[in-house]
This record gives sequence, structure tokens and C-alpha cells, in this order.
Amino acid sequence: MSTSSVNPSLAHQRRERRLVLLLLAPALAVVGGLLIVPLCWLAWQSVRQDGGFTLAHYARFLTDDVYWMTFLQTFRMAFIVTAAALILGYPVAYVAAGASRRWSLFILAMVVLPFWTSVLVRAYAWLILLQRRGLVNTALTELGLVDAPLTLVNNEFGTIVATVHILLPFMVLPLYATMQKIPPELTMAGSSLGGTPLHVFLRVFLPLSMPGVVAGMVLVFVLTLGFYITPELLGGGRTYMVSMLVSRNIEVYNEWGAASSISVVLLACVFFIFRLASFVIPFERIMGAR
Amino acid sequence: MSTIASRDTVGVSIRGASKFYGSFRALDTINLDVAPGEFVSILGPSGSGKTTLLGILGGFVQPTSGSILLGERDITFEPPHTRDIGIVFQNYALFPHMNVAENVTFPLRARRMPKSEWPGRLASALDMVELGGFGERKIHELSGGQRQRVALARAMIFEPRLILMDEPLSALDKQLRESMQIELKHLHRKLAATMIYVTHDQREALTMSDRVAVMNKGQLVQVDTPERLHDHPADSFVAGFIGEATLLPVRRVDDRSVELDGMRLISARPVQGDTDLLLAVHSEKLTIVDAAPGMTNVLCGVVTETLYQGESIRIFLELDRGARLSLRVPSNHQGRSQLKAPGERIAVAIHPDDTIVVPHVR
Repeated sequence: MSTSSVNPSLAHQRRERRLVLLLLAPALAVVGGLLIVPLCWLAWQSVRQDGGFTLAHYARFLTDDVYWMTFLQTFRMAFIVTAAALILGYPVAYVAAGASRRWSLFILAMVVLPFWTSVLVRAYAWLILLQRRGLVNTALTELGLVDAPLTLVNNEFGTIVATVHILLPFMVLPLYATMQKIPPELTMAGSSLGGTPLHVFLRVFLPLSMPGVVAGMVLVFVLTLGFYITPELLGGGRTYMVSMLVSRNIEVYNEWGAASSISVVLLACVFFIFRLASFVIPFERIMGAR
Repeated sequence: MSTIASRDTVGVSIRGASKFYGSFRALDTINLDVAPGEFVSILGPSGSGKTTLLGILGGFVQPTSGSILLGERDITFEPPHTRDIGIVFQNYALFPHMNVAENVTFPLRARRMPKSEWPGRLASALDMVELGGFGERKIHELSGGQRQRVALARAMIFEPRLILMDEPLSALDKQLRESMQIELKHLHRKLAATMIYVTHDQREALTMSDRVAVMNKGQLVQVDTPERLHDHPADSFVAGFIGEATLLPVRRVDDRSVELDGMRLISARPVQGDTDLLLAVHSEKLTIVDAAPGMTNVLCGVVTETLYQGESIRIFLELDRGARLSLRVPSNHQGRSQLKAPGERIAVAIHPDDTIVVPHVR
């Protein structure tokens, strides 16, 4: 008598496990082949020079001003973009969460719609809008609000505008997801108990929307850290971000080791930020914003 | 002695309040006066408009027409936070990010009451709902009954002029619900506050209220004491909603009697209306009798089914011309001795006082 006939459920379980593995195989291959392996290669590259082990690439972070200045500017940029996205996104999410189903769908569609066009297209669109003779400057001068066209692009301002616009959905969607789960009775209760609308917002709604705030901030912050297209196109060489440092090291100096070490440090920063955020809300909730 | 009491108990007047959502009439010219200190239940099936009425009282829904008076003050257009009405919501609506004490003192903070008064008020509010010492507990650590009490304490701590409750016991199990009903009644007596209690549970409404306002399709059908509601229903809706009644079509004979199944039934009350009348037969008001010729107010039929239900036995009966009704006998010795097997004929008597004839509303 074979084992499988003694305990058919065991054989069934084993068969099921094999099938699951088979189904998972393509995904595992993609993650392994296109993420894990390159990352290991990256880490390997970052400690190699002329066929031997070296920490020279990392030592540059301590000795080369450009390195840590670039990181500083990148973090500064990420802070500004995150703050701007929060200030712009919170009211949008608030209105969408409080609106009727049809209106909230409309508002969310408006937020997500630009999301479906290429980042490159949106960056160029901002370039055209904000340039010296662009729509914004023309309008401002025609209206007599300014005498000479403002420098809106090829600087930090232009980069911030475009980056905020591109990343806004990553702020609004987690905020909305959190807010629409706040039971409306809670704010009703707050006001029936004597709270003014402001008091109820500050004491009840805002604290309960914090998971969404943290999730949105982490997503936008982390995505800004690695942003490349907008600073490259709209920064005019004045906003020098980490991603550009990586690309210069490869394109101009063909320095794979240096580029790898920068990438590893940036990756470590991102892990650190997620770790910090996970003290406030669990990681699954940042991605799912539940 | 508790220090919490309503400072100046006032009544409520709802004057001709209507609410339309587009062409849908959620509330149709509601007129209701609640006396200071009275406990009034608003009873109706779901969709009858009772939640809309509560929303209008709380200030969350603007009436399309009509006005709301709290005592002498017209509060129709006042926002919720200036109304001074304590509301206990159906799902308690406790703030999950605050502990019990923070929840209960929320109204004090919102009203900028001096912090020196908080501890005393908090303690007496928690004592009143028997949750003394629970201040530091988190909301998710509490049971359903305890959450209910926290919601009550929070709605009472600021001594509101009126307390509204929206099906506050519906989430509790039967036993807890019944003990909370009694507690709520005691609290009402202690506070002497005006209370409006929304429910779809007729038993709960009858148990707790001074008066019950029955709603159907956005209208107030009848506002009466529990006893009168049960024994003098205004129409077939109330008769069918209150108690365990069978509604049977009857024909008017004269202003004191109707005919059912070829039998004449005398009513102690004048029969209102001419046609489309229904007899409301409450199961507990029928008694099994030995049929004798010439008896009045007796119906004869065949037992179709008997159900043993613990404290009583429900007997289903089919009358000679096909009408069906049910009666209850207590499951004691006497009741069981009267029991007949399905298929046997029995006669049941209905007292003229219990012969309730109502106009049929659809």
C-alpha cells in the first residue's frame, strides 16, 4: 500500500504546494532576476576597484563636498515637495471623502487622470507652461501683475512644481483611503457634544486621518528622493539631485563603482525612512493605506 | 447623590416638519410635542423616517419646512454644536483614538469648561453609568455594553437639555439589552431629562416610554401611551406593528359590532368607519372555551399547528371559512390541559374589550 492511499489529504496538500510554487515561479523569477540579482551586483560593484576590495567609493561621502551637498539638497527637495503635496492634497482628499459617491469619483478621477500620461510628457508640459514666454508668464505680464517675466523654470521652483504635480496622487490616494473610513457619526457626535467645526476637525478628524498623512508623506518623500526626470529637465542644472549624481558618474566618468555606492546609500536612506515610519504605522498600511 | 442633572429641563416641539429628498417625502408634516422630562420613543420600521427626524432634531438635517423648538427657543437653523442636545448614536460613535476619560470629557473641553471642574464631573458621570475607575481604559478594550455606557456618560456629562438616542441598544445581545432598558429608565428618572428614543423594537418602546410616537412612511401615525397604543391602535399599521396581532377583514354590522366568519363580534368601543375594516386579534387575548349555542364573541375553527415556545404555547387556528389566526396559552398545567391536537375543533372567545376594529391602511 502506498502512502498516498493511506493519507490522501497529505498527497493532495503536497500537490497543491507544488502547483502554488509553479504559479509563483514567474513572479519569483522576475523579482529574483531583475531585483535581487542586480541589487547584489550593485552592492558588489560599490566595494570593488581595479579588481580588488575597496571602501574608497564610500569614503568619498566623507571627503567630497559634492556628495553630501547633493544628498542635502535632495532631502531638502523631498521635504519641500512632501510638504507642498500634503498642503495641496489634504483638502482635496477631505472634500473627496466627504462628497457624495459621484462627486468623490469625479474628484479622484481628476487626481488620477494625469497619472496615466507619461512623466516625461508632464515634465515637458510644465517646461512649456513655466518658460520665459510660457502661458503663466504671459498671463502675469498681460494682467500687469509683474513687469518682467519671472524665472519659473530652470531652477528649484520649476522642479518643485512639476514634482509635486506628478507625485500628488501618491499623497491624495492614501489620504482619501484613510479618510473615507472615518465613520461620519464620529464628526456628528463631536459637533453634537458641543465641538465647533474647527474643534471637531482638530480633535477628531485630523488625528484619525494621521495614518493616511504618514503613508502619503512617506510615499511622496521616498519617491522624490529618487526622482530624475523633473530635476533634470526643469532644474536647469541648479538642482542637483542624487539620481543625477548617479547618472553623471556613469555617463560622464564611467565610474560604476561610485554610482553603485551612491545608489546603495540612497537605498539605505529609504529603508531607514520606512523603518522610522513603521513606528507610527505598519509597513503594509503605508502601501495599502488601510 | 450624583451631581449630574439637567439644569433646566425643557420640552421639545416639532411643528409641521417636512423633509423632501427631491420628490421623495422622507418626513411629512410632523407635529410632536414632548413635555419637559418626558420619555418619548419614536417607533417605526426602517425607512419610516425616524432617523431623518432624529437628524432634524440633532441639527444634521435641515427640514424642508417647519420648525423645531427647544423650550421657547427656535433651533431650526442652529448648528448642532450650539443646540445643547446630547446624542447617543447607534454604534456609540466613541472616538477610537481617545480613552474613556478623554471621550467623556470631550464635551467639557469643547465647551471650554474650566479644567478644575473636569475630575468631579467625570467621576460622577462614570459613576452614574457604573464605570467608575474605567477612565484610563482604551475604547477597544471595552465590551459592547461598556461602550454603550461610555456613550451615555459622554452625552450626559454636559447636562444637556435633551437627550436623543438612536437605537442605542440594537447592537447588544438580548439579555444585556433588557437590563440596559431598565437602567436607562432609572437614569431617566434620576436625570429628569427629556429623552427621545428612536427604535424599531416595539417591545423596547413599550417597556421604556411615557409615550410612543409610531411612524410609517414619513408620517406620525399615532402618539400615545404604550397601553393605549396596544389596546386602541389608530389603524391597521399600528395594530399590526404593536404586539402579536393577526389582522382579519371584517364586515360592519352596526356601530357596536362586526361580523367575522359568520360570527357576530361585539366591541366595547364604537366601530369607526364603514368599509375596509380589520379586526386586530392579539394572540394573548383569546381564550379557549367550550362552545355552547347562543354564545357571542366566540370563533370556531380547526387547530392546524401548535408550537411550544417555552413560556407559552402558540396555537394556529383555521376558522370555518378559511381565515387563519393564532392564540397563546401559558405552558402551565392548565394551558397544556386545554391543548388540542392538530385537526381537532376548538372554540375561542374574545372579550368585547379586546375586540379591536381598525380601519385598513395600505
